[in-house]
Amino acid sequence: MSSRRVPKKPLPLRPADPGGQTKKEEPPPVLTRDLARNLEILKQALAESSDVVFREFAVGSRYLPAAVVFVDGLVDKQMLDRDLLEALMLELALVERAGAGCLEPEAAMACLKQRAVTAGEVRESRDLEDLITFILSGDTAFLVQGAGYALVVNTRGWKMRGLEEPVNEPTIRGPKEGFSETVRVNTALVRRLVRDPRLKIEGMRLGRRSRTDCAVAFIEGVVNPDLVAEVRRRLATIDIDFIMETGDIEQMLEDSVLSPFPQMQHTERPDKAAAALMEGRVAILVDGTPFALLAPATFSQFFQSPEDYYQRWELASFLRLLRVFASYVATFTPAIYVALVSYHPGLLPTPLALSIAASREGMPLPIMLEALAMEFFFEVFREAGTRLPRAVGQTVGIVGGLIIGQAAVMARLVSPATVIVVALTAMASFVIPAYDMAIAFRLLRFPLLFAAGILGLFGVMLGFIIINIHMVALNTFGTVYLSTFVPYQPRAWKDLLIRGPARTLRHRPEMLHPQDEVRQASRKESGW
Amino acid sequence: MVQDRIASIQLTLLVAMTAIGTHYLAMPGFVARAAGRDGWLSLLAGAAVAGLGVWAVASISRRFPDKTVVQYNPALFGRIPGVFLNIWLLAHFTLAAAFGLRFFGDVLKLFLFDRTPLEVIMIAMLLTAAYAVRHGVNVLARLAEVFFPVVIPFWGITMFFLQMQVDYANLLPVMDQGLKPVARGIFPGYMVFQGYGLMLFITPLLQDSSQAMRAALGGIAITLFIYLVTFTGAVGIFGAQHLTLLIYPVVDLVRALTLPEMIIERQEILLLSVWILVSFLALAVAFYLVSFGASQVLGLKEFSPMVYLVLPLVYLAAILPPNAAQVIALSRMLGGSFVLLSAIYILRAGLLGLWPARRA
Repeated sequence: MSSRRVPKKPLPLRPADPGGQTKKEEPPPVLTRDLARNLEILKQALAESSDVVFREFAVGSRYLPAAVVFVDGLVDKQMLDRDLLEALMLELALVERAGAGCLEPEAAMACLKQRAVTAGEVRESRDLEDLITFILSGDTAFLVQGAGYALVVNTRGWKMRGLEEPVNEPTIRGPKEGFSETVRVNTALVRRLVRDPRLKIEGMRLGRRSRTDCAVAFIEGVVNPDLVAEVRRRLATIDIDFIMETGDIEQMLEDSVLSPFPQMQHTERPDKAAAALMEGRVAILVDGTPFALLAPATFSQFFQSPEDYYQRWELASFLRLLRVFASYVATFTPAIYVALVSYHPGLLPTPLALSIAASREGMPLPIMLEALAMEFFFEVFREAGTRLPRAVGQTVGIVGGLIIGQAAVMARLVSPATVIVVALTAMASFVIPAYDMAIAFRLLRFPLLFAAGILGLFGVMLGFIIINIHMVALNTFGTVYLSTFVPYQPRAWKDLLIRGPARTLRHRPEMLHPQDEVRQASRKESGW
Repeated sequence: MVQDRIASIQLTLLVAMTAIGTHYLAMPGFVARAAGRDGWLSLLAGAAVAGLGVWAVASISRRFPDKTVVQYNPALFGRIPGVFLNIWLLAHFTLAAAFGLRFFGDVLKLFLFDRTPLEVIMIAMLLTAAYAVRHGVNVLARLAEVFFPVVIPFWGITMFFLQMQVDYANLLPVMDQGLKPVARGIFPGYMVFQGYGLMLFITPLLQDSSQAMRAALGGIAITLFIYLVTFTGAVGIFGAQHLTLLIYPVVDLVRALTLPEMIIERQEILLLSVWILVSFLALAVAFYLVSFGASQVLGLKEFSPMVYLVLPLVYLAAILPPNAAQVIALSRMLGGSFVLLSAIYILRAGLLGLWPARRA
């Protein structure tokens, strides 16, 4: 990075103020009626960018000077040629021959817009800075001598990834389409699932320099308006140069910085996003990432998968219970193991206590350190496995898990019971469908292990209490994190730990204070 | 969403868990020493008195809808007696918190950590409680909601399996010595319901304060149910004579549980681990009441600074009694103070018609 001071407004747009009278409120730099001057300003602003193309030409039988400006690679060349250049240079002549040309220079632009430009999405822009942003987003600017404004033609089209199955959220049954990196495609995917005219998709730009396109989606009449206002308010407070990913935004919008728990949910699945909108949540989509943010997120949500609703309810309920149970196993088992072995062996049945004690005889490390070391190395293997290319990653698993584990036990460095506990914990932690929640549990294991090593079961219970204090005190966008379990909202419990039969899920979750609470008519009302 | 308002179900659970958290482990012995095998009748009578107390607090609170006890005391009793009563109340709850803490530390040291210093257990507990209290009553109420479904299944399963060993004939004959033992048992039988004292402070924080009485009575009903099952079970297993000799009969009760093919041995450790949750809540509630009440007496807007002032006081009061006998004396003193306070408020509530309260 150069040490040169960067001016806050990066683009040297402002023409010298002629009178110097308007010192306080300079009007935003606007286009003039002089084409040459406009092009000069644009060239100055976009200087040294080899990918920006300026194409000057003449329009109509009077040879009105005109130009298009676009960024090579961001525009659909075919569309540009067909809808703009061809239309202006070839077809206009035909129109004129029929006696209805756009000949008057003053009205030329309006007339061209009406009759010549065949592109679908066209808007006018007077503001230079806006215009440049449009150009850099892939639109084409069309300027004509004497107009005083430019026509922004949507010619966006670039190489993008096709719609693929979401890698991180696979389902056995359910749609296989995932979000991609283009925000417009993503909003379209949501729109295709929800054709309600009251599905609002508000656009905005975030990032002073990156000017990333973002969209805030919600369903009016369902969502609590206070929630939308709060999301807008928080988004408006983001003042940063570059938005990389929704992860960025998530961390800037969340209520508690210190919490290990994710306070918004991200998803690659349009069906999940649409379902969340239908519940009365707000979705934030950002250009450049296939992950949409859903706010607010509550604890229970991270144990649910869209598939829960596609499969039969008994199966779905079983899987949900399994996930919750597994997550507690993943978090507390190592700590309880350490507490039992080191402080309360009496709690174990005598044969088991004896066999553990026998297997621990001659071990170099105290049990807490042994468990900590195993957990630590397990995390190392896991991280190594994720970062390596997939083919090599498998080897890491085999070498790390099987060979080292086996050798460590045979060399009597660690006791087999510890290996079993750590391995069980690891497997249990993979059951949690949400990666960010799984990480939270992974992290919490370590302080709990410490607490167990120092204070035994009392330490584990204190840890449990502290985690719970934190969770009940945590609010996300005004919703209690542990909703709908706490505060008790029994009506919503049909869809919490268990997933009730489809016909019984008649209401949206109360915690979100939706405007329209009923989502399904009862069996009787629907005439079953 | 309104902050710092609690739902009536939360009040119910708070009342129940605060009572159980402090007195449960010792309750059967405590009651049996005064009332013998008829203790369950004393518990019923005690619950009835507690119901009367709930009525008193609720009807006084109705006169002062947005005020806590320390705010309406001067209006209710006159300025100087009111201030005196406020100090008494704060001292009472400070000692209640201290007793809860000490009792907890003693039990844990006795059954779980014979070599860990009492101070370490108590400080760890107290700091955790301070962390919860600083978040306010909402968090305590939600914690009650989280812990209740964790605790109740454990308790239910234990009691269910105990039923096979209980000999209910030990409860007979009923009242063979007349009403006297039952009457003697009313004092301890009432003391074990102390938890509802939190109504004094928490009623104005309810979402719907007209529900206060029903909610608190629900809490007392839950407590009574748990106590009755436990007491009759303890008498049924140990007999009233033996029961009077036990300091922590509930622990012995769980220890007495024998199942074929036991998965765990020394299941009382499991009971104690779960009981930590309830006990923690009772301590935190008392701690909160003192901090909150003191901040109101002093006219502070925020109560969280008071937490740090109250914390050393509670700790000192908890560490001061040198031995178990002194701790028991402390519990008796608390019981006496509680009975006196209840009498004052019940009488005052009864006289509301004759001696109307000034507007505060």
